[in-house]
Amino acid sequence: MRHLTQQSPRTDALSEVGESSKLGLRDLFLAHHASVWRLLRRLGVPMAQADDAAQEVFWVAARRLADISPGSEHAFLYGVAIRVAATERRRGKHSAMLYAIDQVPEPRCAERDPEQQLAGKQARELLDEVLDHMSDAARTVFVLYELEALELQDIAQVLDLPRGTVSSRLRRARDEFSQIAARVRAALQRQEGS
Amino acid sequence: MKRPLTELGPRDFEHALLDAARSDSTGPRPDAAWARFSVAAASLDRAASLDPAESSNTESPAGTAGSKPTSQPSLPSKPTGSGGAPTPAAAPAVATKLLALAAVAGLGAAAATLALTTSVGNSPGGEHASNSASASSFESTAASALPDVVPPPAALERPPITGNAASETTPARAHGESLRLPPSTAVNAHLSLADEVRLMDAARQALSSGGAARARTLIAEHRRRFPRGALTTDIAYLEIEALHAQGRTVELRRLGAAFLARYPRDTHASRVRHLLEQ
Repeated sequence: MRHLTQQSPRTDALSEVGESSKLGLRDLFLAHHASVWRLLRRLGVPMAQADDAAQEVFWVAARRLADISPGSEHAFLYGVAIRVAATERRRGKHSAMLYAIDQVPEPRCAERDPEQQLAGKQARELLDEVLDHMSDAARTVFVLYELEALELQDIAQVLDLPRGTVSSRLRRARDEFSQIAARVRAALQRQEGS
Repeated sequence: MKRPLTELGPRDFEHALLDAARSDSTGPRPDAAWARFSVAAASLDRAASLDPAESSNTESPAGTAGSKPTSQPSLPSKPTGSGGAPTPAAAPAVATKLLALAAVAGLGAAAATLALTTSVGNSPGGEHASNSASASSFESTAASALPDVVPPPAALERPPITGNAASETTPARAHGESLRLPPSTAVNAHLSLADEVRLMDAARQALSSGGAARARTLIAEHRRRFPRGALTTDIAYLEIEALHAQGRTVELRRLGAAFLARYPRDTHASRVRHLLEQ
């Protein structure tokens, strides 16, 4: 479990190497880029836009570097990533209508791949399929809790919501996820059978 | 060998999807992405320096005439490797956009760049850089001090979720998309970052062409101007390399040990360890 309030190990600065007690931008970038990129993908940013969106998150971080208190880097980046992902999703909706929950299409990665290393890819694509059909609010809470392993109070902090709201949203999100996953699974089995 | 997804029960199916995402290691290599990010920062600087108001004074930041045009393109080739990130496409798009930004922000941004460039060139010995910058113009103070300055009282404990993501962000976008203009302070922060990158690049250039002493001067300059800069780690590492090149083993050991104590897991740490073991 990751804790957002953890103290940075680098606060005991040695003056020879610089005065700052904060993480440099490069450190921040290298340490968090992969998780930011992944989070953006799971929050619905398409593969083609994920690289740019991740850069965008760190552009914001570069400008706000002085505002990020040590230990809260993760929370800060998550907050920015969620906003960036929301913007990307809004952009995407102009071109592609979202499906209603009961209109789940056939899974995109229909062909069953014999290679084990592609199984993960297929599972992720199916997951994104499921997530894409969740409401944005439910999806965000679900991803932060189930995939990013944040605690409820940390999610409440990142989203600036009361903890109770996060908790009830998570319950709804799990229901939504199960329903949609069941449909996707059924569709996949139909495809296998035919 | 795991069972195929279609043979899993509903709960296991859900877990399999979630597990696949938790172990997701796709995405660009962070160092390649960082290289792209640095290039974008440098592009911003280049775009701003195209402003005619400044063109009469395009003195290279460190006074090493001619090093600027060659040193900047060297950045992307450094750690990129494969990675699969669409690196080259990003820079022009950003440059174009930022040129527009600089134009809109107008004389402010241009003046800031000018003042910054000049202040590096003159490099008043011993004078603290932020003092000299604030002496030259208000705009340059805003630009050079931005990353170092004490944040406003409403500092981000928790980032706002609603609303202004659009005005907050300056992405590397393709041509033809609508331009979203951040406030001019954002431009200044970008310029400051670009300036940092440029100064570090000049130091790296000096070191790689045998000018270790020159590199150390630039490193000291960087430290004066950006005491809390974004590239502190890189500069610390570069200084260790410069000391190594000069054969100054005593200082090398001192700074090397300090580096490892502070950045034990930095990407440069193994190289520093290697230098210390020699």
